Amino acid sequence: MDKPVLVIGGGIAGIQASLDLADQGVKVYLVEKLPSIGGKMARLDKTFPTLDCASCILTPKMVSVARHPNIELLAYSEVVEVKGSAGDFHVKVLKKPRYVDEDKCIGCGECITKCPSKVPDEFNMGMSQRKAIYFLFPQAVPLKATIDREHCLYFTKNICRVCERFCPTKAINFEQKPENLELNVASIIIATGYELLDPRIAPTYGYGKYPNVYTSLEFERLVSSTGPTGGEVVRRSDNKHPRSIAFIQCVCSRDVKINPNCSAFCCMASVKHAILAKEHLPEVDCTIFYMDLRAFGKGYQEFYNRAMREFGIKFIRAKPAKIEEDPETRDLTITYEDTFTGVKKTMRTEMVVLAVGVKPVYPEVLPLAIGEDGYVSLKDAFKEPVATTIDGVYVVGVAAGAKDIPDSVVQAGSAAIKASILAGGVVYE
Amino acid sequence: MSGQLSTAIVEAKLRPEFSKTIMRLGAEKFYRCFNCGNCTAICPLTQDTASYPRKLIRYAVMGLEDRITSSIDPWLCYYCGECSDYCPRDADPGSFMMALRRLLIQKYSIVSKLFFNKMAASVTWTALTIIAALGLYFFRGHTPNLESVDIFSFIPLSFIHDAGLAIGIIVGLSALLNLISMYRSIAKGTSYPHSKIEGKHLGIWVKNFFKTIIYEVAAQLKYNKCLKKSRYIAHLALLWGFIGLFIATLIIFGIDFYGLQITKVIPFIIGSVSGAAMLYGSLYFIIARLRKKEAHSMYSYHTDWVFLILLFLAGVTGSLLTIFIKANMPTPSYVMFAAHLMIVFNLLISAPFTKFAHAIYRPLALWINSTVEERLQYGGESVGR
Repeated sequence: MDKPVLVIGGGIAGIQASLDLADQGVKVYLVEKLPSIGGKMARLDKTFPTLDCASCILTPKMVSVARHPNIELLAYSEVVEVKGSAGDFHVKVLKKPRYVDEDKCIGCGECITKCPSKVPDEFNMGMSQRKAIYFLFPQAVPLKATIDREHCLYFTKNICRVCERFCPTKAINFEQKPENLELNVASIIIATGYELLDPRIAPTYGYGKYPNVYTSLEFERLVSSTGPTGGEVVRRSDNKHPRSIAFIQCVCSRDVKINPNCSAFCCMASVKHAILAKEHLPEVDCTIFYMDLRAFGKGYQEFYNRAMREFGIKFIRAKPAKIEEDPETRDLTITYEDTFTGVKKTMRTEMVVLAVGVKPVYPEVLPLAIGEDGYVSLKDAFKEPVATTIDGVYVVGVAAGAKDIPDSVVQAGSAAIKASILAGGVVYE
Repeated sequence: MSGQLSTAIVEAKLRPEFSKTIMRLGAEKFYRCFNCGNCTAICPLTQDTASYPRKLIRYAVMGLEDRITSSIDPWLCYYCGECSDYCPRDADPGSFMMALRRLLIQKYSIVSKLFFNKMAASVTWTALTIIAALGLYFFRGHTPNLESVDIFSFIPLSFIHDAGLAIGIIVGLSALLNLISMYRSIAKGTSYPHSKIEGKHLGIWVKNFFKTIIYEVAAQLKYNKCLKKSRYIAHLALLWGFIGLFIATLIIFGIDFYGLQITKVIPFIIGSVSGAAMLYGSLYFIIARLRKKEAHSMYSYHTDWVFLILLFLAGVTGSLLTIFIKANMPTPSYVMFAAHLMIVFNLLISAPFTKFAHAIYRPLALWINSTVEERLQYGGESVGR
C-alpha cells in the first residue's frame, strides 16, 4: 500500500486506530507524548459494566502495537508542525531524549533499583514514589527506561551517574539530544484524550486540603492491585480502611461557572468504584450523590441496578454543597439536600471520592475548529462522525467529546477506515 | 399526616403561566434549575421545617402558585446570595426568592400593585407628591419668620401633628389589614407545614412573639448568619436609624406640642446618631446596587431603588434641615423642611404596600416559623419535590 497514517495519542483510542490501520496493511506512526502508550485506561483497575480487568484488555493491545511490523511507535515524542493537505501531510515530530539508548535498553530495571533520587509518581497521581530513571508503569510499552531530567542528580547537581555504572548493556547516554523527524503521511488521527480538571476549582469540597478527599482517578489507583497500596483501600490520613465512602458526581462538570459539559463516563465509573470498594471491603458503606444518573450504554442500567440490589449501594439525588473535616478523626461531613424529601441533611463519612470533570486535550499545531463545548468540532455529527473540519484529519475518543472506552474504540475503528481510504490513494467522487 | 399531604397535592391548582409572572418580577433565570439542591444545602438559613430555595423553585416551575402564596419561606430568606454564587446552573435562586417577596407583597395587599407595576407606580408616586405639596401649600403659615428660624411659622405645628396622626392611623390600619391578609393566605394554603397553624398553644405563641421581636427584629440574628457581616451591620444601621429618628421625632413632638419637660438635647443626640446610621445604611445599599458586584445587589427592581432613595433622601433632607436650623438660615430651613415633609409623607404612607412592608411581613413570618418549628421539631416532615 501507499502512504502512512499518523496517529497522535497512544491511549486506548489511538492504540485501536493504529492496530486497525496496521492490520489492513497501512503503515502507522503512533506518536505519544509520555514515555509509554496506554493513556488513562492503563491507570484503570476494572472496566464497567462487565468489571473486566482493564489491563487484561489493554496490555495485549499495547504489546501488539509494539510488535506490529506496520506500526512505528514514537513514544516520548510530540508533533511540532503539520503542513500540507489531505493525502499529503508533512509532519515534524520532536523525539524527546530519554537519555537511554532505546536500541540497547532491555528493560531489566537494574538502573531503577540503583537510582537514589525519589520523585512523586505521576502515574499513581503522586500517591507513591518512583525514581528519577523510571518506567511509566511496570507494563510500559515500549519498556525502555527514561531519565527525568528535572530530578536526575546528574542533570541537577552533576553527580551520581549510578545508572550508567550498573546498566548491563551500556544503554545510558547523558549526551542524547532531541531528535527531529519528518514524516509524510496521508492522513492524521487525533486521539489525544483528556486531562482531569483540578477539583480545587470547587473549593467547598476541600480537595487538596482534606487528605481523605480523593479524585476518581486516585481512587482507581487505590483499588488497583498495581496501585500505590497494592489494592488496599486505605485512607491517606491514617492508612486505615474506611468504614464508609461517599462518591460525589459532577464535580467540576455540569456547572456553568466551571465546565458545563457532562463527562459521560463518571456515573458508571463511580458505580464501578462503589462496587469495587464493596468487593475490597464488604463491610464498607457506599453512597453515591448524583444529580442525574446517566446509565445510557449497553448493560449500564443493569450495572446500576446490580449496584443497588446486589451490593447495597445507596444513591442520593443531591449535589452536595460542602464538605467539612473533623480535624481530629479526619472524617468528613457532607452537607446536602435530599431532593426526594426536600430536607437539608448532613452525612458523616470516612472517605470522599470526587468524580471530576474532564478537559479535552488536542494538538495546538493543527488549525482545528473547537466547538463552544471546548471539544474538537466534527465536520458533521451524522454523516462524518469522526472527521474534523480539516480534510484528512480525524478525531476519536474524548478529544472529540466525552465518552467511555467502548465508544472510543468504536470511533477508533471508524477513523481507521476513513484514514485507510486516504492512505490507499483512492478517491471516490 | 401523609393522608393530608396527598390531598393537598391533588387539590393543587397548576398555573403554567405562573413562572412568567415570577420572571417579570426579577427572577429571569430560575427556569434553568435542574433541581440539584445545592442552593438549599449551601443556604445558612434553611431548616428542616422550611426548606428553600430549591423546593420553591420546583413549585414555581410546576405552576403550584398556592404552595408559594401560602408559604412563609420567602420571608425567612435574607438574600445573602450564596445560593446564587454556587448555583451550577446560574439560575440565581437568590433573585428568585427576592422575586417571590415582591410577588407576596402584591398578593397580601391589592394596593401594592400600584407600587409594583412600573406605570402605575410612576402615577402613584407623582400623585402622592402632589397631594403632599398641596397639603403643605394650603396649610402653610402665612407669615413665616424670615428674621430667624421658626419652622412652625412656615408650617404650623398643629397641621403637622394632625396630618401625622392621620397618616399614622392609615398606615397602622393598612399594616394590620395586610398582616391579617398574610396570615389568612398562609393558614388556608397548602404549603405544609406552615399551613398547619393551630391556635391551641397560646403560651408558645406568646413566648415566641417576644423572642422574635428581640432576636429577629431588634438584633436580626438570622440575618447575621449570612456570611457578609458588613451587609448585616448596614441593615441594622438602617433599621435602628429609622427607629431612632422616629423616636426622636416623637420626643420633639412631646416637648413642643404636649409640653413634655425634657431638654431638647436628648432628641437631638438620638436624631443625629440615628440620622448618621440611616445615611450610612442607605448609602451602603445604594452603592452595592450600583456596583452590582455581589449576587444580592446584581439585580435591582424599581421598587428596590424607590425604597432606598426615599430612605436616603429622608436622611439627607433631615440632616440638612438640622444644619440650617442650627445655622439660623430661615429660607433654606423652610425649603428643606417642606422637602423633608414631602419625602417622609411618601415614605410612610406607602410603607405597608412597598418593599418597606417587609418590615411587617418578615417578623410575622419569623414568628410563625419559630412556633411551627418548635412544634414540629421532632418528626417534622416536608413535602416531596
